[in-house]
Amino acid sequence: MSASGPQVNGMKRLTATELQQEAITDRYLLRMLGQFLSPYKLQIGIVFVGLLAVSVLSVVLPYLIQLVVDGPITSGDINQVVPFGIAYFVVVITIFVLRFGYIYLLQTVGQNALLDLRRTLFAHIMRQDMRFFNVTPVGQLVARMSNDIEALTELMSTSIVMVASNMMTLIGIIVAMLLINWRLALISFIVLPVMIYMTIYFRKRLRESSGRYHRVVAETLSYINEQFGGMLIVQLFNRQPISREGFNQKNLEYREVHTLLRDQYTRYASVLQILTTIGLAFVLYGGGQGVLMGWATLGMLISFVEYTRRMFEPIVSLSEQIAQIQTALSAGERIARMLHVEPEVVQANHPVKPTVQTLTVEFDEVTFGYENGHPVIHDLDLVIPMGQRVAVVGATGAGKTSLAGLVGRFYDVTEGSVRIGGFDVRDLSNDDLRHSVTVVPQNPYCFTGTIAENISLFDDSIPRAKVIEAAKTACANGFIERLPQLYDTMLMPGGANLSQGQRQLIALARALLHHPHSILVLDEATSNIDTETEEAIQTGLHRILQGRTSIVIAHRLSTIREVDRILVMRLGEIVEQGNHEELLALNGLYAQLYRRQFVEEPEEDMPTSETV
Amino acid sequence: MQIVSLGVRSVVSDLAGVVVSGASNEVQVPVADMRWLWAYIMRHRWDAVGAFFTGVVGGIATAAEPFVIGVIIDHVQQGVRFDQMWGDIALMIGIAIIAIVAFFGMRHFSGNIAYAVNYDIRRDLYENLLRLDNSFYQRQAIGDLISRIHSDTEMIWRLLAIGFNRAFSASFNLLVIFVLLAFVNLPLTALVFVVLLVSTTFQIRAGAALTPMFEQVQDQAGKMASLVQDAISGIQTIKTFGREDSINARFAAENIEYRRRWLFFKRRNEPVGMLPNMISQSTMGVVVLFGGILAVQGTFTLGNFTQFLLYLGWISQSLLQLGMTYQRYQQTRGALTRLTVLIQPTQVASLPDAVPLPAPHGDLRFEHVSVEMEGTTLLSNVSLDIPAGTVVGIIGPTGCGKTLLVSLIARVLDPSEGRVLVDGHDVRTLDLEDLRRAIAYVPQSTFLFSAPLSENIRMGKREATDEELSRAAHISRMSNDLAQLPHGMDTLVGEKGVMLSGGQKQRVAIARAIVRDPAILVLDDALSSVDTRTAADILHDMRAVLQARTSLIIAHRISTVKDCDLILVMDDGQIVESGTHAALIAQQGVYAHMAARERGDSRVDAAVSEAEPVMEEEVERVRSSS
Repeated sequence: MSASGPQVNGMKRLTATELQQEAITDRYLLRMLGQFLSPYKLQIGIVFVGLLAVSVLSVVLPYLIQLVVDGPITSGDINQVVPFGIAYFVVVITIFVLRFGYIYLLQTVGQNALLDLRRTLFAHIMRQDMRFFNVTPVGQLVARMSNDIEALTELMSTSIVMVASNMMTLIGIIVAMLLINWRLALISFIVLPVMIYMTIYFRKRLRESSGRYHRVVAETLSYINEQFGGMLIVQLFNRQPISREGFNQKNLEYREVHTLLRDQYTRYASVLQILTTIGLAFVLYGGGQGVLMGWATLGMLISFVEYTRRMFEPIVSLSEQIAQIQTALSAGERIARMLHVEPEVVQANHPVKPTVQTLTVEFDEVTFGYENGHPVIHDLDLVIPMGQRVAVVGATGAGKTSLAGLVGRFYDVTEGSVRIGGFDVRDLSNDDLRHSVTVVPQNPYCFTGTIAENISLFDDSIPRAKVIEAAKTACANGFIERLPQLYDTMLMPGGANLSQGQRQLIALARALLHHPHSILVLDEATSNIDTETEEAIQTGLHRILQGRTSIVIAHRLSTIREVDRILVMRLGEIVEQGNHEELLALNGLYAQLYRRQFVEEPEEDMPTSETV
Repeated sequence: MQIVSLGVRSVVSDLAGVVVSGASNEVQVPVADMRWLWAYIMRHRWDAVGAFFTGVVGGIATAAEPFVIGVIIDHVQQGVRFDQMWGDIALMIGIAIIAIVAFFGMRHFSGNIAYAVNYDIRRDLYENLLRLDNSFYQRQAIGDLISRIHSDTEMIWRLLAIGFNRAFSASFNLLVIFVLLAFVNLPLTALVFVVLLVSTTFQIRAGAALTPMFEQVQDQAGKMASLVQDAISGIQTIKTFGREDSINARFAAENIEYRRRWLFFKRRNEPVGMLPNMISQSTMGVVVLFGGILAVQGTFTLGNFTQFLLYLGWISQSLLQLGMTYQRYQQTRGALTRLTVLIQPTQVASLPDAVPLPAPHGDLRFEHVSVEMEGTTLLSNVSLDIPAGTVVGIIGPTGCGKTLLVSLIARVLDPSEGRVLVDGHDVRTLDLEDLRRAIAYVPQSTFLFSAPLSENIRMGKREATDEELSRAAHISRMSNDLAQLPHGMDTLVGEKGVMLSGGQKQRVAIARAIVRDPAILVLDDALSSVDTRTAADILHDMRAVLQARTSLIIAHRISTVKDCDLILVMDDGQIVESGTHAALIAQQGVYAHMAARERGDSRVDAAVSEAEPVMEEEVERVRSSS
C-alpha cells in the first residue's frame, strides 16, 4: 500500500467541503476493506477451510447423540456407548483446536490489515492541505484514527469470523436435518422465515438508531472537547449555566437514544426467544407424532431438539453481531470518506527541478480567498529580489498572514501565480519548496516532547550543540536555562507550560536550525515577546538574515525599521512600498502608523538616546 | 463506542497533584468507589427491586423449559396419544411466555437504572468540571478528560445493565437447574456443576491476569491517539519543515508496537475466552457417556438424557454471564478510580458565607502577594494599590509574571501568600460569580467557540442588546471586517467555522469584554496581533466607554501603555518600576531604556523629523495637547 493512499476507481475525488454529502455504499466500503485484506488471500483461504471444517464437525455432534440413542441405548448394549462418548469428546476437542487456529490466523491478518489502514489513513491525513485542517476539527480526525479504527478491529478480528461461521453452521445444520429426516426438518423450518423476516425488520431499525446513537456520541464528544478547551472563558464569563444546559441536552439525548436502542433490541430478542420456543414445540409435536407413526425415531427427536436449538443460535448470534457490525460499518464509512478527501494543494506530477537555488519571490496578479467570493488578496503584484529583506505592515485583516501562507504554499492562489526563483510554487516539488521557504507562524505549536526535541523536530541526527546554538540566536536559551531540566524539560501537550512568547522563541529557534538558507517568513513571530528580547533577537537575526531573502510581518515598527523595503497592505492590496524614509516622506498610511507609535515628546528623546 | 484512553499518567500522580496543591485547607478528598456508585443506584431503588423480582421469575421460568421438553420426550417414548401432548406443548409455551414477560421487565428495569445512573453521574461530573479551576485544566490533557467522562462512565452502565439484568436471573437459573437435575441424578449433576464451576473460576482468574496486558494495549492506543492529536495540531510546522516522513515513521513505530501488544494480549485472551464453551461441550461428551450407560441400565430415561444435554447449554450460559458480571465489576472498579480525579473539589470556589458584590467599584489592592509553583517563586511580595478608574499598563520581559499577576484578580488561581482585594474584600471571600461578573478578562490566547460571531461576542453579557453588540463591534473595530465575512455577524467562527486572522480573533475577544461592561477590565497582551494604529484606536475608544473602570493592560509595546495612568514594569516576578510614562522616562531606568529601544535609533528619527515638516507639525500638535 503506497503512502499516497488507495485510489479506488469509480469514485470521484472529493474536497473537504463535499466530504459530507457524498454517499458511500456498502459495496464500496467492502471493496475498501477488501483492498487492505487482499495481501493475505492465502491466510484468509485457510481460515475459510477451517471454518468449513468446524461447521461440519459441529453438525456431526447432535447426529452422534441420535446414533447413541437409537443404537446402544435402545438395544441396551453398554459397551457400545463408550466409543460414542469418546467420539463426541474427540470431535469437541478437534473443533476447538481448529477454531483457535483460524482465529489466531485471522487476528494476525486483521491486525496486519489494520496496521496498513492506520498507516495509510495517517499518511493521508498528513498529506492534506491547510484548508482541510482549517475546516476539520482536530477531535474529528483523532476520532477517525482511534475510535473508528478500533470499531473496525472488532469487525475484522471477531465479527467477520462469527458471521461466516454462523452462516456456515446454519447451512450445515439445515442440510444435515434434511438428510436425516426431511419431514421433521421441514417442520422445524416453519418458524425460520418469520425469524429471518424479523431479523431484517429489526436490523433496519437497529441500524437507524445505532447511527443516531453514534451521531449523538460524536456530538457530545465534540461539545465537551470545545467546552473543556475554552473552560477558562466559560468560567471567567460565568457561562457555566449555558455550558451546563448544552451538556444536559446532549446527555439527555444520549440517554434517550440509548433507551430506544435497548427497547428495540429487547423487542427483537423477545420475538426471537418466543419463536425459538414455538419452533421447539413444533419439532416436539411433529416429531412425537413421527415417532408414534413410525417415520421418525426417538434419537432423531432428541437430535432434532438439539439441531433446532443450534439452528436458531446462529441467527440469535447474528442478530447480536448486527449492532457491532453496524458500528463497524458506519466507522468504516467515515474512514472511507476521509480516504476520499483529496488535497487541492498537491505536488505537481512532474515537478521542475531548479538547478540553481535563487531565492526570489514574485507575486503575479495574485487573487486569493479562503471562501469563494470573499477574496482577501486582490490582484497583487510583488517582486522581491534575492537577499532583500522585506517587511509587511498593515491593519489586522489586511491579508498579511494570507500573503505569508501563499509564499509557503499553504494555499493555492485563486488567480495569478506565486513564483519562487522564477518557478511557480505549484510546479516545485514539496521538497524543493520546503528547502526554499520557512514560515514561522503567529501561534506556533509545541509538540509533546522535550524542548530540544521541539527545536530539532525529533531529528536525532542534529547534535545538541547545534540545537543550543539555534536557541541562543533566537534568545530562547535565556528562559530555557532557568528551567529545571534545561533542554530536556518536557513540554505539556500544546506547550501548555510555556507562555505564548516562550513558544514563539522555540519556533524561532526551530526555524533558524532547519533550512538555514531558505526564504524566511516571520508572521508576527515575535508579537508576544518583549521589546528587549526582541531586539536581542534582531541583533542575532541581523547577522543571520544578511543576504537572506526574508519577509517579516510585524506590528511593532521598531522591529522592521532596518529592512530594505516595507510593504504597507490594506484590504488585500499593497498600497505603499519603499524604505522607511521614503514611506515617511510619502506621508501616507505608514507615516500615520509610525507617528502613532513613535511620536514622543522631543525632550525625552535626547537623554534616552544617550543611554542606548 | 470505545474511546481509547489517553491517560498514560497514573491516577495516583494526578491525585497527588491535587492533594499537594490543596494542602492548605485539609479537605477530605472524595473518592469515586463502589459506595459512591451505590448512592446513585439507591436513587432508583424501585427499579432495582423490579429488576430483582423479574430476574428471579425469569430465571426460574427459563430453567423450567428444558425440563418440560424432557417430560415430553418421555411421554413420546411411553407412547402417549396426540391429544394428550397438547397439554405438554401448552405448558411449554406458557412457561416461555412467562419467561419472555420477565425478560422484558428485567431489561426494562435494569436499563432504567443503568441509563439513569449513567446520566446522573455524567451530569454531576460535568457540573464539577465546570467548577474545577484552571490549574486542573492545565494538568489534564483534554483527550484524557473526555475519555474519562465518556468511556469510563460507559463502563458503569455496562456493569449495571448486566448486573441487574443477568446476574439475578442467572443465579436463580443455576439454583433451580441444580435442584431439578439433582432429583434426576445427583452424582452426574454434581459432576457437571463442579466441572463448570472450576472452568468459570479459572476463567475469572485468568481474566484478572490478563487485565494488565489489556491495559498495556489501551496505553499504547492512548499513545497513538496522543501522537495523532499532536501531529494534527502541529501540522503547519510539520509541513513547513517537511517532517511528514519523520512523523509517519514515528507513527509507524507506535503502530507496530500496538499491533504487537494487541496480538500478544489476544493470543492469550482468546483461549481463555473459548475455554468455558469447550468445557461445557466436552461435558456433553461425559453426559453422552454416563447418561448413555445409565439409560441402558434403565435408571435414566431418554427425557432425562435430553434434559441434561439441554441444561448443559443453559448452565454454561448462566455461568458465563456471572463471569462476565464479575469481569465488568472489576473493570468498573478501575473506571471508578479514573473518575476520582473528576470529582476532586476545586481549589477556587465561593466560601459558604461569601460576600456578595452587587455593585463593584473596581478598587484593587495587592497585599504582599506571592505565588509559588513547584518550588519556584513566580511572583514575590507584590503590593499595589489601584483606585477605581485607574488605567494600569504592565510591561516586562517574557515570562516575568505579568499574566500571573492579573490572573489573580479573577481568581484564575489563588496566591500562595498575601491577599488580593477588590473593593476592600479579599477576593477569596467574595462570591465567585459576582467577582467574575465584575471583571472582563481577555487572556493571551483567544478562544472562540464554534458559534456565530454575534454569539461569541454576546458571551460577555448574555442579555446584551443589538445596539450594545454593534457598539462593541465598532469599538473593537470588528465592524471593519464584517464585510469580508460571508454572513457578517452571523458568520460561524471557531473550530468549525471560518478562519479568522490572529488580530480578528483578538478583536472578537475584546468586543466580548466591552459588551460585558465590567468594573475591572484585564487585557493580557490582547492586542499583540492588532496593528498599532487599530490598537490605539481601540484603546482610545475603550477609554471613553470604560470611564471610571479600572483597566489593566499587559503589552509589549510602549506605545500601547504609554498613556496609562500608571505603568508597572515587571521583571522576574517583581515590580521593578512604577509610575506614569513621563515619570518613568525621567527615572532613566528599565522603562526608559525599553522606550528608547522601541523607538530605535533616535538619531535616524531626528534626521527624518528634520526632513519631514508634516511630522514636525504633528509633534507640535501632540506637544501642545499634552
